[in-house]
Amino acid sequence: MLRTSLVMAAAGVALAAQSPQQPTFRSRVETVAIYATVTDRNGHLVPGLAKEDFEVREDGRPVNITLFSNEPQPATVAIMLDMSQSIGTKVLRTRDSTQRFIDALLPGDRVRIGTFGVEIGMSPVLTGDKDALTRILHEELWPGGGTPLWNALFAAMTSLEGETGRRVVLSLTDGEDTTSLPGWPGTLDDVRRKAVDEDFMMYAIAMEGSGLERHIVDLSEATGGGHFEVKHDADLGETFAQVIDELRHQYLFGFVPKTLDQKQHALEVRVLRPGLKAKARRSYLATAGS
Amino acid sequence: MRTVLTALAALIFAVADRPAAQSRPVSVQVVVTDADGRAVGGLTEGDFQIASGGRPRAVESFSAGPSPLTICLLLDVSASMDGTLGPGRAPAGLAAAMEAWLDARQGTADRWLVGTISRHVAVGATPVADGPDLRAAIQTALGLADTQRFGPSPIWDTVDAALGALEGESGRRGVILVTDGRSTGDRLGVRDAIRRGLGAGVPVTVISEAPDQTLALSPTSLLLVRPELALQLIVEQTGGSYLPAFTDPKPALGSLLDRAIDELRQAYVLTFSGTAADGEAHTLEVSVRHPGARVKTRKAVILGTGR
Repeated sequence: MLRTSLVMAAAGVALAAQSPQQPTFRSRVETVAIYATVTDRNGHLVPGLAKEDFEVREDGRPVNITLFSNEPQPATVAIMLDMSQSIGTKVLRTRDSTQRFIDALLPGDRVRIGTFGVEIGMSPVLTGDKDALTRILHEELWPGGGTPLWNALFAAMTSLEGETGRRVVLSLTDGEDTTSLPGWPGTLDDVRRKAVDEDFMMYAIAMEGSGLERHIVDLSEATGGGHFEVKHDADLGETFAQVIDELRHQYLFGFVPKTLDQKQHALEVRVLRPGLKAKARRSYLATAGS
Repeated sequence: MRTVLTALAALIFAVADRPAAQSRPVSVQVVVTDADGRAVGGLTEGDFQIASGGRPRAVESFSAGPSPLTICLLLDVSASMDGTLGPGRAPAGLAAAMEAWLDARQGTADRWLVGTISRHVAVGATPVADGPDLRAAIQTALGLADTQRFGPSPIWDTVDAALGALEGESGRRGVILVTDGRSTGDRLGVRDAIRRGLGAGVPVTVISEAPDQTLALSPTSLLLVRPELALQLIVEQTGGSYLPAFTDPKPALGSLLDRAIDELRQAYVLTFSGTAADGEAHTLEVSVRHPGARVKTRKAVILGTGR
């Protein structure tokens, strides 16, 4: 069940040239990949650290880091936009803020846009083509209906199955899950299990005055993603820009697990420089890649 | 040595006339309506003038209706349509309206493809005859599982598939789309669908359940959500009709269908030549000598796929 992006085939792990291509791994042994964001005391991103500045721990014990990159890595992102009735007048702000994310994409990045409300409108297009993504933003945002949040997040992850590398789900919502839709599976437990076991990095943005469900916050922290609650909807575009900036500056680590025992193992990324901290997924499921 | 090189260069580089894009005859469906919006019959070839790419074209063949049709009927059954055709689920409302229409309908020589706007693009593969076959096709289309209705609603992908299915059909053709215009999960956009319609020469008529939605942005400004804009755009560009179904009193779906079909049946077909098959859009203007008449036809011709 676990997929190549979680435990990547990588004996003699060879990271491709430092370019905006997906990393290439050649090997027969499994490698666990971890993406980490490093910030200073002020919450500013810290780029340019070296492998020696980090320690990665599995179940509390340091592991040998066999893969490291501090270069920008391409991301595969499913953006899920809340179009429930309550979003109503915020649809233009949503569109324009998401556009900022699209405008900031680099070669190698790919995005799928989905909406949730009366229906879940998952685009079949996963692309870095900014014109195609802009078209979707201008033609496919229709407010109405409830908030099938768990269905939507599950659908977003499902839509990225089969993709390799860093897989990110970024949701924008103004409220809690209020409904589920026929034909769209996914409870909170399903979402949590899939995100953690299959290595999806979950980001969530809450609109002004709405706040985020505790479950969403927990999920983003468990998967090494992030969560943001904008004080003013006018800051929404800046928040989207912040997310892509964060993705752009993440570090990539890999290590070879001692065993593939089908169990969850705790992960921790430590920065060995004072005043800096790293956030990354907190566990992985030790299963062979599909 | 120099001579050898010159000879070699002559082999590698040769100047020739650039081949002109071929042209082939173009047939255009033209509907003429009077001031009240009723289709006008009885016109003759001499009543029409055609210009393509800004140049007048001679009418090479002419055919007047009424004639049998090949129609692709697309019914939007997505969840956003619930409640638009009466209380409850869209398929139930559509089924009741279509049954009433079929019961009152006289048999014709028309041929039909039936499709639905639902999670997956679904358009019938083979045209069926009017009568029991059409009724069965509609029942089958509307009998889809409820799980298929809650998104996405790929309107333009489905229209594109319908236009593709009609491309190989001869005679008068048309797509009739019953929808609220809230497209999601499309691989193609409305502009792609328009381009396909201009290439296929098939008008798209819309029976629209897409009224404006007005939302208060602030005490002094409103946000208008206008799904009908894209619907009106494809209608205007392909020469179809836009028939709102959300007026008060609400018209019966069957009466709007009859109106759309009657227009298509009365269409004139004119053929002319001289448009390059270069994959480009060449403007098309058709005018008619008839007081108060309005002409509906596609706004451009696209032949070929370009180089």
